[in-house]
Amino acid sequence: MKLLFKKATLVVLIVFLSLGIHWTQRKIDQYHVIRFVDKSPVFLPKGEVLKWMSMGYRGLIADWLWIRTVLYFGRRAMDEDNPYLIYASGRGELEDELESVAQQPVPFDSTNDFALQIRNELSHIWQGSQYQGLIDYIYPMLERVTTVDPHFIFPYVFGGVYILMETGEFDEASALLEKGYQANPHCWEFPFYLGWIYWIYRGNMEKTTAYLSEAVGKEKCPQYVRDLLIGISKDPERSQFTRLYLESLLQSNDNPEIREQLIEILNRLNQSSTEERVY
Amino acid sequence: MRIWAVALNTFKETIRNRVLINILIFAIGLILLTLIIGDWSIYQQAKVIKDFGLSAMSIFGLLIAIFIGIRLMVQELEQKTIYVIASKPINRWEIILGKVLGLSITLMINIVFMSIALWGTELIQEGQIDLGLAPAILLITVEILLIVCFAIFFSSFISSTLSAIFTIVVFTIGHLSGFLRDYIEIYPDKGFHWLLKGIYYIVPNLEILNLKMAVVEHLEQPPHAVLFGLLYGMGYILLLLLLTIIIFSKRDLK
Repeated sequence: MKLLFKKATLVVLIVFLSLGIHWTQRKIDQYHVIRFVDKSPVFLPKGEVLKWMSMGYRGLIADWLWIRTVLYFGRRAMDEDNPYLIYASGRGELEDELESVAQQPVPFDSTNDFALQIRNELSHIWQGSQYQGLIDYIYPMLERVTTVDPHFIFPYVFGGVYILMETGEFDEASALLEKGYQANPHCWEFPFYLGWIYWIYRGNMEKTTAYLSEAVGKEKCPQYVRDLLIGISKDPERSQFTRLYLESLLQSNDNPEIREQLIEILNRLNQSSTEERVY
Repeated sequence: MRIWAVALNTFKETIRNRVLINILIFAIGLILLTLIIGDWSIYQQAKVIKDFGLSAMSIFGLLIAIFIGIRLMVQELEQKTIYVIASKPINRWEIILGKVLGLSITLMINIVFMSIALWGTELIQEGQIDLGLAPAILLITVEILLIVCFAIFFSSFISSTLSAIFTIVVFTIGHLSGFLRDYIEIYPDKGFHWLLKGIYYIVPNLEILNLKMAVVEHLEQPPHAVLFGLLYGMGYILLLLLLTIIIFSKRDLK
C-alpha cells in the first residue's frame, strides 16, 4: 500500500511537472514574434575566428551558419507571421498613415510622449520593412559562411543575386561574388552572375561582356550563357536585346512586386534612346 | 591468441556498456535532420546531410574513443582487476594490444554502421550514394584510432581526469597545427617560436586526416593524400603503442 502510494505520488509529480513545463513553454512561445522585431545584429565572431574555432568541422559550422542565414531571411522576407511582412503587405496604408501623421499641424505636440512614440515606431517599422533587416544581418552572415567554407558556392549566389533583388545593395552583392570568384576561379557561375548583375543593375555592357566571356571559357558552362553573350554582342545598341530579355522575364514571372520592378525598368528603357544605365 | 582473448573480452565489455546505441541515435538524428533541413538549406540538402553525417561519425567516434579508451585502463587499475589478468601467463604488451584491438573493433563496427546509415539516407533523399565519401571515412577511422591510442597512452600513467583533458588538448592542438605553422611562417622572429615548432612536430597534425570538406565539395586533393594520411596516422599509432607498452611494462602494479 505504501509502495503504491509512493508510485502514485511520483506519477502525479511527473505529470504535474510535465504540464507545468508545457504551460511555461506555451507562454514563452507567445513572445515568439516579438523576438524577430529586433534587428538581431551579428554577435558571432568574425569569419577568420570561426574558421579557427571550427577545427576539423568547418563544413558543419558553415552549414549551421548558412541555415541560420536562410532562417533569418525566411523570417524577415517570407514568413507570414513576420511583422515586417505584415506591414509590407499593407505598405500603401502605412505610407498614407505616416504621411497623415507628418502633415497634421499639431495634433500631437512635441511634449506628448505617447504621440512621439507612435510616430517614431511607425517610421521605424516603415524603414524596417523597406530593407527587412537584410543588409545588417544577411551580408555579415554570408561573409562568415564563405570565410569558413570558401568553396560553398550557393551562399555567394544567394547574396550576390537573390538578396540583391530584395535590397538593391549592388556593392555588397558584387563584392561577395568577387570573393567567390577569387576562391573558386574554375567556376563559371561567378563570372556569369557578375556579368548578369552588371548588365541588369548597372547597365555596364563592357563589364557584362567581359565577365560573360570569362564564364564561357570555363568548364561546364551551360549553353544559355553562350547564347546570352552572343545575343548581347550581336545587338549593336545592346538595348534591344536587354528589352527582349526583360520582356521574357516579365512574361514568365507571376510575382507582382518583381513584375512591377520589371515594368519600371522597361519603361525607363523605352524612354531613353541612348541607354547606358538600365536600372 | 592471448591478444585475441583480451580483445574479445574488451569488445564484449564495450557492448555491455551499450556503446553501440549511438548508432541508433546517429541514424534517427540523420533522418530527422533530413526531414527538417529540406526546406531550410535551399537546394543544399545533399551537402548538409554529408557534412552532418561525416561530422557526427567523427564526433561520436572521438567521444567513445576518449571516454571508453581511458576507462578501459583506469578501471582495471583502480578496481585492481588488472591483477587477475597480470597473474595469468600473459605479457603486459599483449594486454595493451588486446585492449586497443578490442576497442578498435567496436569503433570500426560503429563506423561501418554509421556509414551504411549515411549512405542509406543519401539514397532515400537523393536517389544515389556518393562513394567519394569513403576516403574521408577511412581517415576519420584512423583519427579515431589515433585518439584511442593517446587515451590509452595517457591513462597508463596518469589519472582518468587528466588523461581525458590531455587527450582533448591533443585533439584540439592537432586540428590547430596548420595555424601554428602559419603563425611561425608569418612571425618568424618571435622568440618563442621554437616552442611552437616543437609542438607542431610532436603533436600529430590531425588536419592531414581531415578530408571531410574536400570529399563533400569534390575539391581537388594533393596526390596520394589518402595514402600519406594513412601512413602518417599509422606511424603515430605504432609509436604511441610502443610508448604505452614501455610505460605499462615498467609500471609497478603492486
